Amino acid sequence: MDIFTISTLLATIRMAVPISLAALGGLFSESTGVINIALEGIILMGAFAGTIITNATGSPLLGILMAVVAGIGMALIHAIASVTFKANHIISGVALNLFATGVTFFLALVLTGGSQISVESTLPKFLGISPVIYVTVAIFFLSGFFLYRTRLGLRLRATGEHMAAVDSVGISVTKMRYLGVLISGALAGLGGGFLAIEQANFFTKGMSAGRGYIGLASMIFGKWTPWGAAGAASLFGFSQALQFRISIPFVPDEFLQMLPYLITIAVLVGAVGRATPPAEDGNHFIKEG
Amino acid sequence: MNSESRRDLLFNVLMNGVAPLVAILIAFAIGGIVITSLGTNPFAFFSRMLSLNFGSMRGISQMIYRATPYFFTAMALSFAFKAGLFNIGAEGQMFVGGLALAWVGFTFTWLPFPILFILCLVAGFLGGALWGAIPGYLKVKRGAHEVITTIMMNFIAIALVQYIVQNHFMNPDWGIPHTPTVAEGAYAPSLGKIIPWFPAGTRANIMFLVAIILAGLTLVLLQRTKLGYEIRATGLNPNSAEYAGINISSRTVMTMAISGGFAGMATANFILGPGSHYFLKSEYGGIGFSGIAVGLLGRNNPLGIILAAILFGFLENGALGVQLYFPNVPRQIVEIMQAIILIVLVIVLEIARKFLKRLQKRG
Repeated sequence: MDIFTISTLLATIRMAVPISLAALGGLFSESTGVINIALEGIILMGAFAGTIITNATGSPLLGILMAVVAGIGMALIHAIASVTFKANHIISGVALNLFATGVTFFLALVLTGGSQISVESTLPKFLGISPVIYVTVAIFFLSGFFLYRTRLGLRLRATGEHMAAVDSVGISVTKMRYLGVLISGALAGLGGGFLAIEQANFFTKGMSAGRGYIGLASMIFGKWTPWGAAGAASLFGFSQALQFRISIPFVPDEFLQMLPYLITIAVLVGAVGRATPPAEDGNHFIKEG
Repeated sequence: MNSESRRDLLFNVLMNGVAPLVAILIAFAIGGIVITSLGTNPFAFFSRMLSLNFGSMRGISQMIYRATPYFFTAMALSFAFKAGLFNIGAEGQMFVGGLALAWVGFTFTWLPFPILFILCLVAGFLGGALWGAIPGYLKVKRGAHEVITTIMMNFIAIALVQYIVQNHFMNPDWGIPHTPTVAEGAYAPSLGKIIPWFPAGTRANIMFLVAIILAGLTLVLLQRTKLGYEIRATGLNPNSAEYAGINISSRTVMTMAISGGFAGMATANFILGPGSHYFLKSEYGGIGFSGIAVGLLGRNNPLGIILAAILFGFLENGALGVQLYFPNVPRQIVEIMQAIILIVLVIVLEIARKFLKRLQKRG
């Protein structure tokens, strides 16, 4: 029984890509104070849109782009509901997840007559792995730089920490929040596109299978930082990769499945270091006067 | 009528009447457009749905059967809401409670009806209550936000229940993992046996009456008891509640436990009611999450929740039946409509709130 092989490493990376992109998406959204549990539905929508467009155009690149666009579309609804109309962030997220589950299943049946659609072409591999993996790594480097070293990134994060202060220096809280939520939709949508087109080579109903929530868990375990999120997503990706490869004596698969959620609770109760969410998480901006 | 009570009336009508109706109408309109785009007449589609549900006592009974579980998961959300808590863990609480009630049902098989039936419900309540109390405790003791912990507890429950059923309760010959069947003493009688005008052999069962009784009891608990007052006070303003001598910590844990207990009884309709009589995890998925929509549509009021649950039962039962007549419209159309109801509702409620606030400012 060999756990630490090249093939396990590659499987870990493949598993980690959608999770880490969802985690980074959650991070962008929450850095502006908007909780986004619609990540799960966004991944699903991205996976579906990516599959359909890849098959319709024969271009997996267009498919991936469409997954990103679909993710942004879902995020836009979340932003309209929770930023413009100040609806509860969680409820809006729950609604979008229900919507994505229903609409992707419905359209799969209408368009193909079945609930599973195979992807007809994938991106050419570069050095043996999908180019989306390189893009994901680059996105993490860029995000780290963007959030901590650029003016706009600092403004995004300031919005999540103190909305009134951001508003008082003439920056639009609404614009910052829309930007954070839309970026999160693009990232999770990309994760969904990768999941269907590059990883599974098919779309099937409900295929996000909790990845959005594991992404959320990674974000928390990673203490709301890009590299922490990437590390946590890799750990959870590793535990997913193990589930498909080997059975470890005395550790049932189901306990590996629980791992991300158990760790998240442990982090939240302070058993594994303290994690502090952005101060304005879940709050609405109401201008005085 | 003075201006204040007139404002209260306007608030009630707008928030509890107009807003849910607008959300439902918009969902039907969008559903209708989608159905039209598939080349089907939406009026024929929805009127067929109407006659399938209300055209016969059997239809009504099937609709009630589908509606009943939603009541319980919706109550889980809404009861916690009263104390200002956001329990979105009904899905996990439902699974843990469901397994607990099935276990009692197939273990204490010598007990007669109604003792075993009642014990099953108690076990379901306690299982869900345990699963709900843990996030409550973690919030009180360690400051962990219940939204995240209840989400995480959902997935822990799903894996745990799967593990237990597969490794301890299941007979490998069955193929699909499910528990043994519960004893006859645990069966929830069909409504046909109790109420003369329900046809015999329908699946709607006594759990629907349990739901109605629980709705009434919850109203009494919240409005007429000290505990209910303390729960509501905690929800309205935790700081002043604490100042008034209410132990917020214990009320938080208790509210989460009761809330989880409601969800824990959701699957009794399927397991104890007429049907397969065993716990089959895959049959219940999503009822916990949809309960969030039902609770909000019912405006967190037990009686409103009964109506909202019936609407969801109407859509689900209608979708199952209408497929025979319009096979080109997948029944997932109603899932889309349910999601649209929820998203439109939250937006319409905020618009109504803003409108009322503006009215108040004007005086």
